[in-house]
Amino acid sequence: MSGPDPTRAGFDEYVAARMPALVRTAYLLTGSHQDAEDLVQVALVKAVPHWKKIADHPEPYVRKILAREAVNRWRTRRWREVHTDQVPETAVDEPVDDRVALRRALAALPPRQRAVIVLRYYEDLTEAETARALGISVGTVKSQARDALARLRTEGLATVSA
Amino acid sequence: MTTLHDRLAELADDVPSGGPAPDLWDRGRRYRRARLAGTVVIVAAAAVVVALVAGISWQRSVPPAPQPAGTPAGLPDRVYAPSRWLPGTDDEGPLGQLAAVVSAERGSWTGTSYELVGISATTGEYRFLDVPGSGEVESALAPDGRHIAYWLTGEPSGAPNGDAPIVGFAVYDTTTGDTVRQAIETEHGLAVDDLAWADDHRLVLDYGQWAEAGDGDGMSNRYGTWTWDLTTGAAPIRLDGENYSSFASVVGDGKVVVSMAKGYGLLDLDDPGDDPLPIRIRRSDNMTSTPVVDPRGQHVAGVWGGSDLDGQSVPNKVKAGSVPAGGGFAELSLVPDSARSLEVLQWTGPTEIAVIRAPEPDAERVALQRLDVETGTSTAVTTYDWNDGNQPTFATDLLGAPTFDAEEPPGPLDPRLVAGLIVGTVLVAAGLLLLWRRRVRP
Repeated sequence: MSGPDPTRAGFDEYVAARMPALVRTAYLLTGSHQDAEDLVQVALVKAVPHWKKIADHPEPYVRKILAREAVNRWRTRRWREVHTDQVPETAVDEPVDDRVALRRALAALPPRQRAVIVLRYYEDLTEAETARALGISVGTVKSQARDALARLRTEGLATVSA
Repeated sequence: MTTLHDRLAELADDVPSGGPAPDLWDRGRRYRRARLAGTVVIVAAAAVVVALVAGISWQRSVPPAPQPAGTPAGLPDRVYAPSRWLPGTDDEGPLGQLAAVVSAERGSWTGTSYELVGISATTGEYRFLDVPGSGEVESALAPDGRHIAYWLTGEPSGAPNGDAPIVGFAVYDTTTGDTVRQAIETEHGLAVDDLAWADDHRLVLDYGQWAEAGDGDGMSNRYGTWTWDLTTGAAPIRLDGENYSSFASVVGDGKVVVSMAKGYGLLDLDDPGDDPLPIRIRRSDNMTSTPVVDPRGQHVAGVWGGSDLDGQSVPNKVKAGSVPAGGGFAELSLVPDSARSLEVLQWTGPTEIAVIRAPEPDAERVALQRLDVETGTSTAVTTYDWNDGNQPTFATDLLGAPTFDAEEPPGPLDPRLVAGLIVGTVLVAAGLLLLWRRRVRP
């Protein structure tokens, strides 16, 4: 009779340890708690077939799936969204705190720029690591980061500094 | 001042920690199985299609079993229309002694061109003949089927007339694959008329010279008849003398029929200086083809009437008869049961000729038969497609030999189609694979 799968045990251990941190990153990538949890679960499920190879150092692979899935999902969702004439009610002249402003500014960024910002300035990845995670060139990372920071500043985050 | 990192971290802290998800590992295994299953199905389907295409292509390329070793040379009892994708002698080597050659369209990756196909007299195989410098489809197969003569293209000394000016002739050895080239001095290229074998080693050539450069037409002059001997390889010798003008038809055994001021003459190439034996055909005999004379100059035959296949409006019968000793008007009479004859090829015996005939009115295939000119008894030799437009040229030494059962040559598929189907299948499979691996959700 076979005993418990040691590979699975390692996976469960990793999930228990890293789930909160991954959800936080996913939240910054998606802007929604529900989407963030779903995104993390998808990334972890997709990591399972490769677990034997990545078990020693799973973080880069999981982060790569997380970032690419976030970008791809946004693209897919953009085509499925239904446009409406009715604008949802919003509070006018309501003072907003920094977090709300930052969330709105992130939501206004194109998905790849948003992913670059999160990986570079939240996860503190290097440009090369960010490029590998997103499957783009280092030059693209630089230009996307520059454009994203410029947009964040114009969105009212005047004090944003890298 | 807070950094962007700090502010992102603050924002990220808003989200509650993720809840437990105990079945992630099992979902991951199911996801792996689903991806693997789809991949296996798509790859297997693509492999089946590729194997099917490759298999059909291979099956159609396999030549039929050759005649058993030691089979005596002969003509096939049927000549098939060759596929344009048959292999060539450059790929598979020379065919050896040939029973016939026929011009056929040959396909390549970029287009098609007319080239010569040889049919082996011993194995029955078909193969394109990769003869170097061949500019015209017109060729001459030696009576024994061991050599093919053809006009040679190249660069004339002056401005050329036509895209592929002819500057000589060449002889291809069907057994060794070697080619002997004979250049002819020409300024603009040769204006060629006829090329034929008088016997197994002597050629008869009729040609003139283009008078000026052009697009393959225009003025030409200095026509003449020459003979050339393969065994010596010496320069061609001019034949036409005071009493005769040009080559008319082949007789065999080193003799040819030449056109004379009045009628024809039988010229012996062993004694080209002698006057040809005069052979006259009465106008009332209404012979519509060049008379075919036996090597001894005693008998003559030809088609009486037009060449209409229906045999109704014109008789298309054979007239044959004897030539008086010393030459003169032939005494001709109709050969019984010779209707729907199209062409007399050669005398194959004292009272027997080889003739091309249509078996019935409007026949699509015509037959090469041996016909007894006294009794009208015919013996089938071979058949071929008349509508194909490209009549085979036969090794006439084999007309009297027993024929063999012809196997249909391979009909390989167009390699562009095969490559396109395989590449297309691989691309479609790769696309489906990509789509499937993207669409399958964990």
